[in-house]
Amino acid sequence: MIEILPEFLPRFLAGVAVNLQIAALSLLLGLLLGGPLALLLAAGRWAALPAGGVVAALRAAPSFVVMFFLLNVLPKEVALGGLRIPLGGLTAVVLAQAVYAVAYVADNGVVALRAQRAGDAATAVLFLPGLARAFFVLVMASATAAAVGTPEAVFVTLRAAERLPSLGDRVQLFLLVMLFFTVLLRSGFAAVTLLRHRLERRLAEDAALAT
Amino acid sequence: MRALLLGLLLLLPLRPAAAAPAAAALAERMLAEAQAEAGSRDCETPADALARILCQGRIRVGVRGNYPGFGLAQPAALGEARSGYEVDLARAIAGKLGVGLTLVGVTPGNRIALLLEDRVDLLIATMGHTRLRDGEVRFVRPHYYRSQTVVVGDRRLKLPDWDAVRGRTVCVTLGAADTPTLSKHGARLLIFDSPQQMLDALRLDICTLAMHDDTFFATSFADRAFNARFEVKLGISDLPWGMATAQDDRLAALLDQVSIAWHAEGRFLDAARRNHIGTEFLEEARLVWRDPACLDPAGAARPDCLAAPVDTAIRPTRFAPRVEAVEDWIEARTGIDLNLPMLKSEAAYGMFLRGIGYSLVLVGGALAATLGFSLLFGAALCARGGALRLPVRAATTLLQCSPLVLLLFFAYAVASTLLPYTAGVALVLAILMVGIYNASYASHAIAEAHAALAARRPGGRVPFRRAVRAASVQLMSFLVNATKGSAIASMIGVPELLNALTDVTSFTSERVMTYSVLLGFYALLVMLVVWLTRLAQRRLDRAPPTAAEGGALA
Repeated sequence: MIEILPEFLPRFLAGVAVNLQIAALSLLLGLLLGGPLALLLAAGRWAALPAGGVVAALRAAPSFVVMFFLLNVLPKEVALGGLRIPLGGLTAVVLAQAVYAVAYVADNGVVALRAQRAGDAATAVLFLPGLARAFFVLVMASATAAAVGTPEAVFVTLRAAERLPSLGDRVQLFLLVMLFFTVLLRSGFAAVTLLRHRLERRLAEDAALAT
Repeated sequence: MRALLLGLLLLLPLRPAAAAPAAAALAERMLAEAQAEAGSRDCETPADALARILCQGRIRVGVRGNYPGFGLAQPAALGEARSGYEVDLARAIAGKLGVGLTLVGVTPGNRIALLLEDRVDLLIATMGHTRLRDGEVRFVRPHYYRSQTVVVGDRRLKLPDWDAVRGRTVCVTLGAADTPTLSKHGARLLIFDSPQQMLDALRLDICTLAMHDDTFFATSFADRAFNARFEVKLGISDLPWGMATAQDDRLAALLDQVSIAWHAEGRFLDAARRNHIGTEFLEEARLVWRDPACLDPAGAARPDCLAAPVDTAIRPTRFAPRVEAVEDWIEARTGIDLNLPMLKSEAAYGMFLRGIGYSLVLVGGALAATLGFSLLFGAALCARGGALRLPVRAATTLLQCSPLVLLLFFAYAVASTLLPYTAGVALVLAILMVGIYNASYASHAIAEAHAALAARRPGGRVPFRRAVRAASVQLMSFLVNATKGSAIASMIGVPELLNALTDVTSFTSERVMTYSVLLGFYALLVMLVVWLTRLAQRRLDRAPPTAAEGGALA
């Protein structure tokens, strides 16, 4: 197994970069579309009703199936002025993950908005670590892109595993990658917790100063 | 007997081409008659295609422009020259008829239409002879080539038989007729619009395997780098290729005789060698058509020496006409071009029903497994003894932090080595892994609820059922997650609805409605589970804590 590592590691790290890219783009779309939805949900009843319907539908949509739907329904390219932009597997993955991100931002955004209006800054500010948590969830979920041939980390791992001769070697490779994701995710969540504690501390200090 | 056959085979190439003169003579006679008739009659109203070609002194032949080895057109800037085996045949036919040649570029999508619209006189365009096409055009026989559908993959990959394709990604082109063979063996299909895109995907490692005609791969294998990396792994379905005319007329009959003569004389073989394409079929055909036993006394082919067309006809369901009527009705009233291919052919309908069945079992199983493993892991995480709690915590943490896709393939790698890997095994594996993955989260929620309750209770002892009830909201949300994630099982070859409809798409070419049906099905399934979990949650909230749960908290 060790002999494949020099070839595997650079490809794997490039794959991780693709996972991070998918998560970042999905979250960006989530903020752009989920933000207005959160505002509508926090507004009056008549605005909240249709927005609530949209968010409920997005929550119910299974991202993996949405990805295949988009992959087969989207045109192969779009023309913007004279520019032709290809829409491939990566676009389908980002949009499918954005479905989750939009619902997440809308759900958490409305809680933050209501808390802010009620003067509960401590709750409102939790929206930020929530976003960071959603980012790491999206990084994990972006591994489904392997199904449509996007060269992210799990895809690279599966291709490498296919060429390993023995079960033992394949198990070692899978465990190594699982360990990598565990370290990545735990570090990410630890950073989120740290961020949350700092925000809570700063708010407490501000409140103490105000009184 | 075997020695006699061997002797016969050795002698065959040495025998004179006895059949060739008879067939060629008949062709010459037919052509001479047609030329005499064209010379004597009014050319403004030619009797048939052959007369018109001879009168006009030009034949229009439809050929491919993007099929290496057979028909390639170079860009207009370079003079629009065409080359390839089929182009050489078109030139040879024009020469035989003594007329000029107009080459017309055709595609698989428009070639028959162009022939039937009289925009070409003859097709020599990589067209397989099937019973279905027999109803549309007249194929010239004997055939001028034969292809085989092959599966190509990396040389390092072991693929001893069809069962080994289960769970692997296979790139195919839209409308490929042989994809049901892959589906039957649990392969995961990635569909591409053109063969070139499919080939690029194979080169870029996007798919493990690619399936197409061997003739398409021939040029790629001529490339040393491609040949060093890939090889043919499996092969299916021989498909004879035929030239085609619009009518069963004198042009077709003349080309039948010309084909016999050219096989016997080795002219097809020479053209193939010049274009560096495979010659196995043409060598076989030369032996067949050099044998006088394959000709009748007039010099025409005996039917038993001709290769039969392939039967690729799709049998319609008994309710297909009603489905079509509904589609037409909707289109007439709404303008929506509804197309439901999964209901119109028996093969597609069978896959559709099977896919629904597997999806329902998968979701039901994933829910049960999530609930069961959540309680099991939760109980271990709430245990007082560290010997049980710590390893379960470590294992569930590792599971939580690993992408579900990776866990599925980890289980697949182990199971496919130890067990004969069937659809049933794939289903059980998927249920277990989706369940374990979601339970790793839900069990932590139970453990956290347990710890929180224990901190508020004197003595710190909390009944496990009480912790489960406290964590029920999270538990329900992971049950919904398990439903949403269940379709990922398609990646390890579970023939659930996503896989089934991808297979249907690959041979029916319809995508938009097929994937809309898929999305609707899974969205409804998720909504049903959301509704059921809310119902269960409401009941749980209403019911007072039992004695076993330790009664109401102080």
